[in-house]
Amino acid sequence: MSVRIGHDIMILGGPNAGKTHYGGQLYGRLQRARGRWQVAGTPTDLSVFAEVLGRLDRGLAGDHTASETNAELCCPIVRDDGLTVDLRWPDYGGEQFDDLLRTRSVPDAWQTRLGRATGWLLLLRASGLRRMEDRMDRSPADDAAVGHARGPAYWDASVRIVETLQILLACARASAHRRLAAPRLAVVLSCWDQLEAPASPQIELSRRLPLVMSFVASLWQREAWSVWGLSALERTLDRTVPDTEFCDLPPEERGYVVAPDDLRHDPDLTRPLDWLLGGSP
Amino acid sequence: MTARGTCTRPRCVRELPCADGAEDRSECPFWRPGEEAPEATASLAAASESSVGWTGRGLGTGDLELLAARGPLTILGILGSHDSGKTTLLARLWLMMLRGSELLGGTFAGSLTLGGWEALAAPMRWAEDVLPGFPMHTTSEQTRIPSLLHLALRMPNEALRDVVFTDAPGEWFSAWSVRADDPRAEGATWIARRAAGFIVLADCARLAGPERGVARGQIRGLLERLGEHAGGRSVTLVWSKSDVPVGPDMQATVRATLRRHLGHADERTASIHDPESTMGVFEGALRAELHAVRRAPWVAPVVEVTPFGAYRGGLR
Repeated sequence: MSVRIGHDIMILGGPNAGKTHYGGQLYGRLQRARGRWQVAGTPTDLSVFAEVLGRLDRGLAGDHTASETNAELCCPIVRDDGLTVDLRWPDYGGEQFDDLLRTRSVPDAWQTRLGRATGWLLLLRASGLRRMEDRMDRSPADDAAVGHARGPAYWDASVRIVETLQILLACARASAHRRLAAPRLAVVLSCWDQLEAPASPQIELSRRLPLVMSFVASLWQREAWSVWGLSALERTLDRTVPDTEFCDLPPEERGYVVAPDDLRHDPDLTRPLDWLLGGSP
Repeated sequence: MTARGTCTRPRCVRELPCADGAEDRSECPFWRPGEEAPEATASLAAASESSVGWTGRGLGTGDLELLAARGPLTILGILGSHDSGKTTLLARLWLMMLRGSELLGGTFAGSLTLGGWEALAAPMRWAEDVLPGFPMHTTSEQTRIPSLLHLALRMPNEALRDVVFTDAPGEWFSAWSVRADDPRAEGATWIARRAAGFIVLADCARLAGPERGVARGQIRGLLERLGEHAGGRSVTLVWSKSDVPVGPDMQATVRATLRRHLGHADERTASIHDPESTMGVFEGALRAELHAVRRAPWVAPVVEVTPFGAYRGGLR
């Protein structure tokens, strides 16, 4: 009886980044064999995503994940070529991600996962991402309206992301000198359906958050980072008003990813996971 | 769902299972149900987490030693009073890095002073651009500009280079100009010894203003003193606020002093309307050092007070 390798995926993202929707939809794909990977056995505990899948069945968006939530989906998964691994995929309240920067520290539970993680998946809500405008873009309408130095909450989004990654890398004892081969980093731009005429995911990240793109490309080996687009639901659902048209198709027939250099929508939501587990993009 | 109360264990965690392995807080013998005191929550959070060593605001001399230990460290001394345009020059460098600019082909690979850079950039942005919903308490410390700013760059030859920009108080260098061994000038002496290159700001607004004689005297004194110490290291004179015209005699005098004491020095103007000019200033100042292969031995600063630990008042 061979021993399966366990793979922890470190999911990184703030509240509203789409972690729970993606986790739920990913599980749906694994369960219904709609991608390169599928479940190879019964997961220990489905409750992590059972609630959000139930809500999607009713045409409702998932509820806000409580900030103290710390759950994990553990299940064996098998690739189309027979490779089987034990997947550990977490879900947690997005406020914990913001807390990393606020406290400049990593809590024990995260520390354990950091030490074991095979891959990091950084989920960023695409439509809100942009560099803050400054005097080099345009002059102020009113000089009195200029900003003032304040704390990290007012930093540019790209700076907050870079500092958070630096904190995680420091706690993971990652060396800066040699480029990182592991853990792999997948940057996933979520709510892709909200973008108008987007370019490829890699170009979108370079345009919107050039500092983050430089940082990632400077620290990781080329084969060890990738940028994806994601639309878990292909539309925005409401938390209280059901979208009955959404229910006409089962959730596993909604949602797509966009590969790094591509523009096409691929319904196989397992592709970023496949890449994190060592596949090619 | 979450039990309210406090844990009397000093190093417990917020998450479950707790540090003692209890899945439910009420099962843990150390748990005291009831109202959580706000400070108790804070200490729960702080107790068992791994904190990072850098604050993000500025570098202390200890941080410098850590950086020096990880690889070649390049220090760029930037000389000028706080209103000479020095701060704006550094701010523009950061705004360019935020746009994905490269510095001598080197790409942004991180910084231990992101807070320091953002503090420089804040006055260059609009208040209405601030994101809502994050009512965070800020300390007055975060409004001041630290004296050492750091950038890590991944160079084309794959080397990771650390560059530290000194944004030292003008008074250090005025004291140093007059008397090189002035105890108030220890920080200036350290920069003069350790920097790989220097940028000196000639403030056109002052050189054209009512105090222009004094301004001329100060910059000449600085250039003369620097001339004694610079050796072959790169020196760039930057005419800042160059939209203010400086009289030709004044320019000629400053230029003559430059030629006489720092014959190899570079001379440039930098304007906010010309982003390339900002990068040009820094690239010129850093070119020799960042392209060099040899690594100079590290000498720790020996100072009685820690000048780099003091924040300079800048933005209010």
